[in-house]
Amino acid sequence: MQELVILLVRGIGTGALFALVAVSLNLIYNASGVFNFAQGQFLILAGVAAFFWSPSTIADPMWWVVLILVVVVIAALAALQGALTLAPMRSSLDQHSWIITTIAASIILGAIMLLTIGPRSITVGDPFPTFPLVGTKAPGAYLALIVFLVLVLFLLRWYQRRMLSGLALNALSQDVDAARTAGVHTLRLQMLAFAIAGAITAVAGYFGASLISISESQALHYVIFGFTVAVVGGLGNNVGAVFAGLAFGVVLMSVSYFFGGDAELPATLLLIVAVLMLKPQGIFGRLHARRV
Amino acid sequence: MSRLWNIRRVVTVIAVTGLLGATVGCSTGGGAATEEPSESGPIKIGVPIPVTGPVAATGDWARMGIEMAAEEINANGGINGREVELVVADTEGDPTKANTAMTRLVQQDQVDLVVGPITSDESLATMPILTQANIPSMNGSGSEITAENSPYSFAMLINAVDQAKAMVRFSTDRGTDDMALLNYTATQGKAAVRGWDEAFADAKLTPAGHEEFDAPASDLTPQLLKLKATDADTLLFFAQTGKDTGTLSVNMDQLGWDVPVIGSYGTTFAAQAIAIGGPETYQDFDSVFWPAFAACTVNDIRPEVADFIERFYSGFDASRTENAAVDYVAIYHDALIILAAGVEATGSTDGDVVAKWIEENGASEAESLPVVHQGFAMSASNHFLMDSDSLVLVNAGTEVGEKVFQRVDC
Repeated sequence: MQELVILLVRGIGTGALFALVAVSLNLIYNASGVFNFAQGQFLILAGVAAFFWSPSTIADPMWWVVLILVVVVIAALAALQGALTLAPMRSSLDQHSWIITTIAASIILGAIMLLTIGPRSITVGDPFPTFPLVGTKAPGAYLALIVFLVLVLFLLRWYQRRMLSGLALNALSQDVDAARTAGVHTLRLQMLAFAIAGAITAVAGYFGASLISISESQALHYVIFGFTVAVVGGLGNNVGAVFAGLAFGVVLMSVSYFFGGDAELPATLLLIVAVLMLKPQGIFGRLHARRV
Repeated sequence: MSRLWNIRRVVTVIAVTGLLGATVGCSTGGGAATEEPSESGPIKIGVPIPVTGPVAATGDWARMGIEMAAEEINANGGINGREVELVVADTEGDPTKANTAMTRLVQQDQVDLVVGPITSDESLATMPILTQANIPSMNGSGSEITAENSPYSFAMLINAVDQAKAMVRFSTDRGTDDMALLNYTATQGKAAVRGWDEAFADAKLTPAGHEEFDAPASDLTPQLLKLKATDADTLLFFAQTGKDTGTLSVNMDQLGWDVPVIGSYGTTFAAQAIAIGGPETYQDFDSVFWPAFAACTVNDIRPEVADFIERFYSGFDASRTENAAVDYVAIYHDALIILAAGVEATGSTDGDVVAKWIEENGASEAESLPVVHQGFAMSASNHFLMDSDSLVLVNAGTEVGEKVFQRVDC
């Protein structure tokens, strides 16, 4: 029983990171129909910043100062990237130039990191104190990610229901062309969505720096996992992303425990395929009509 | 049109683009113009290493060792009067890309010798190209290299099977027979499992438990929970990266599992491990290691080793040498020196001729060559540069001199 509790909590902690990446992907997707392949680089970039500038403990006020700077800079970078990505799409959303621009942004960010830190994989210690867990200790970073995920979910819900710009973002997710016709400044809102997504990813990378592999080559790995979680949860659905992300983490841990580490990824992906065969639109996704 | 329909189109575009890219890549490699091998001019040495990708830092360590050796050879008049010239190709640490890189080196660049790639998977994937082209080489594999599958190639790293056997031997020598096993799941990790199986069978023992993980490890809790439940009194840990070692140390502490650990060569990448696990990482944690970079006191460090370390740090920019495993740099240096000695002695760059010389004379001649490591043992039946007899146990958290670890048996 003790083992199961440990696996559950640690699995939820691992899953929280993927859920946060998935939520950030959803935000951009809902506002613009774009999957931002550069999102993984923002996660790694926050880890790199933690490596260079973050003190080793959150008790140091500088840790929080660096966090704010990292969030602001990455949010601004994401907004800029959003503007560049969306510029060619102003004439029509029904085109795929964003594939090239988001991949290009990812490659450029990766190249900048390669020039800065070199090809090495850097490591960062956990700045959070451990917390007791049924007679053992668990990394504080897990708890921090879980708390942040819950906070993000509620804040986004509140923002998209109570604030004017949040309501407008909701409108974009339903019909961008109709929102534009109604006078909504779509590009500005879409840039805002990129910025918020960038900020969420920045915090996830900064909090979880001790848990991720901080190497530019690993960025794609996190985007793919985040994308997988978003798809399983139902594209565009944040509650679905959170549910799928946490489940993904718990399944990864449990498969490792019951079937061994080499079965971890194949068994988890098999489960995802099974879920998508039963619910192709994702667990919380809605069916879409298609003109034929 | 719905977004889901758009996604299907997007996936199709990506797939088609990927296929086109692969086709173009194949065409470029296969259709490259070839040149006749030259018997004059510089001797070309192919260096297929990861310049980019997740193991690029390790690739750069290998490159520095090869560059040092090439510089020494040229400073001493080259090989039979011919200078050596390095031709680097990026493998990205990926066996498929290593194949393309090796094809380019052999067909387009017409290299005479090869030092690389740096991993077992890449080495095994590219070996048929070298064998077919009759090119002598030194590869960075730590497993599966035999005289049969690699007739003209020798592996530099410590054989994973030998490491695993040595780990069991060191544990039983301490009187601890109840061992739990934990290894990563790649070619070397699997080879280590074979070594453990053989060692346990020979010692008529049974492991207390056995688990595996995908490297680099971010959380080893599931595996450690199972192994802790076995009540083993020692953990044998076969790791790939320093992150694995740091994560193991942190997770064991968090689970309150306090048993001695004997680690593989991969657990000696101390800088990375300590960055995660802190200064206590190597408490009650010993590792299998090369003898040349292990000593009891600073006075025991051989002059060749001290000189190499000094030249390494003064010869390269600090950004490249930071956190580098100098013993690893040195083995690539030594590999090229031995390969060059084989070409010089035989006057040939043919794989069969040079390999035969290395099998028959390499180990004995190494004693008079300007190499850094010791304990060379290549032969017609052993295509690894060293065997398990020379391995020692060190504490990688304690240095008796810069980059020279404390021997445990002092």
